[in-house]
Amino acid sequence: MLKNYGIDILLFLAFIIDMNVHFTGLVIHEWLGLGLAVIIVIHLLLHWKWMVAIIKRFFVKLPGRERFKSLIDILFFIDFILVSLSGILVSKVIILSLGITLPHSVFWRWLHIQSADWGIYLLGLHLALNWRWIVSTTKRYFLKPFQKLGGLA
Amino acid sequence: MRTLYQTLVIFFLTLLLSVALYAIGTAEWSQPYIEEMVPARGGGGGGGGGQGGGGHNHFSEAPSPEYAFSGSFKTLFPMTMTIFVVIIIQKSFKQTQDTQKMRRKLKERDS
Repeated sequence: MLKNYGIDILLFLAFIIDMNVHFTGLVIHEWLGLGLAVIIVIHLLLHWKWMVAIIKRFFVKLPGRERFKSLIDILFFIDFILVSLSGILVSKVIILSLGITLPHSVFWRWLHIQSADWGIYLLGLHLALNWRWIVSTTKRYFLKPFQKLGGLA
Repeated sequence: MRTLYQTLVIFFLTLLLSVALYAIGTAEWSQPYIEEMVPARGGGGGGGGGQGGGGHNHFSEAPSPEYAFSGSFKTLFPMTMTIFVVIIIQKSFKQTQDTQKMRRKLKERDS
């Protein structure tokens, strides 16, 4: 649980920083984006059991809320692929460092910006739909230890 | 072993979707739709002006700390608003469900 929570916080912070290209500059933006893709895969691996259970029950028996939640997650996954692929195709730092030169494409650049913008709303939805878990875990790992410390003092 | 298998599944799923997307993005038949979809970049016509509106900015390779707050705000504001709106909708939805349940129970008790 704590591992999940730690990775989620890391993902969130990396996403916010990576979205701010003016702040990071292109070099950090691209490498951080690559790192973000790796952390997303770890995030998916940590939720593997849930994913399998939801996929199995999706067309059979699933409460409306859970179905909506999993639909958002699927959309988010597709968006992640859109951002990553278009990011690789418009990359100037990583791809160049590998010695590859890709032709300039307005479409991939447009898609990269658009899908990153959709990602903001999809992440907002993803967080809102898991809000109860976020609040309870924050309370368990952050607030309760502090309360205990306060009680001891 | 199991983690390796799971990673491979995610990897192949990502690869499959990426290849499909790349094929769509580069296919000849999709080009007219793409041209219509992607807003034309500045450059031609109009001219004039120092800043030239429209097209996207080219990002510098070096970090610019002065954007730390304003840039993060642009991401955090719409995200927070989305979270806020969805939580409110969820709460009101749950409330209506609860009232309906209560009403049904009261009706059953009355009859």
